[in-house]
Amino acid sequence: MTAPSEARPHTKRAIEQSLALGLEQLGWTRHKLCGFHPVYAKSLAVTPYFWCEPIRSVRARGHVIEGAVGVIHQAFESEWERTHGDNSRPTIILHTANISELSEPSVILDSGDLDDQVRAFCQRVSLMLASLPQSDAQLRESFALNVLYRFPVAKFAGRDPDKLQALREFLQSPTKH
Amino acid sequence: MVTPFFGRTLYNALDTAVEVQTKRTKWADLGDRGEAYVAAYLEQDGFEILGRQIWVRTSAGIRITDFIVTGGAFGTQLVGVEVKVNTSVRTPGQIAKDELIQTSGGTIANWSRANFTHGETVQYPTLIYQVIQTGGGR
Repeated sequence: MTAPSEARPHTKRAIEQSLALGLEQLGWTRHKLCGFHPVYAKSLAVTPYFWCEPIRSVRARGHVIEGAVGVIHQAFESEWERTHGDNSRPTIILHTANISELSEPSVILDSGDLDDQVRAFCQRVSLMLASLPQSDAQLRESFALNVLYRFPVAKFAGRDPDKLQALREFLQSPTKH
Repeated sequence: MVTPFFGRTLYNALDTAVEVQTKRTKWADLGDRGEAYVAAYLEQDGFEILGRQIWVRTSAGIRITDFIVTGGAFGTQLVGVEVKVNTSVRTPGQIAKDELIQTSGGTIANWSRANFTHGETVQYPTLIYQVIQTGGGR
């Protein structure tokens, strides 16, 4: 077990800073896309993202980094907002609590080194994001194969399966993009 | 379904008994570990977790729901999941708030949650997943 880092106390702020630095070093920077809460993503029209929720304390252990991952298709999200008004969250969204690869390293123990633990989490997030589509063509292919990361596409429907279906139809429409 | 397990048995509100491999642990850890076990079994029951530790404001005060999920036997409906460990049960206040959320709804008090917007109204029934210690340490 690594001794606690005396220089960096385990505060929510310190974890957020370490997370931002770690993800930035791996090519994922904070962007505010399509009016959503800022997410870690790339400057691409179709980009994977990590939506980091506020860091949560866990009794007697440390803190937990949670959030959601998915893909933002900016043209579709803009079109949806134009036609439906409300657009508070991305269409393709999966909470990290459903993904064992991300939920297991998401606990930042007070007994361990903060930066080491956060870096390990960032690497897992980056690996997953890198495997998600980063272009319109890749997203269309994922829908055709019905696979996003290692899950069926429907697993990323969040609370709005109808919106996911609308994205599917948008991708199939040659006039939209 | 019952799976070989050291130490704890987990029953959920769908009348399924499941068991989880675990190590001896302290009481202070049990609630959090119970949540971790339940997360795995929610997936097995076909649910998608939408959020954890969601604060919902009701007319009787704030209720912190351990998980809000969708899917499984409930289709696209939202469902709250409360994790209880060993002999722990819901307090009368928790039961009252859960009934309010189911009948009248409550409003989300968290900010910046991926699947929930601060101030939005949510209405859902609550399932109890009970993690029961059957042996080993406390």
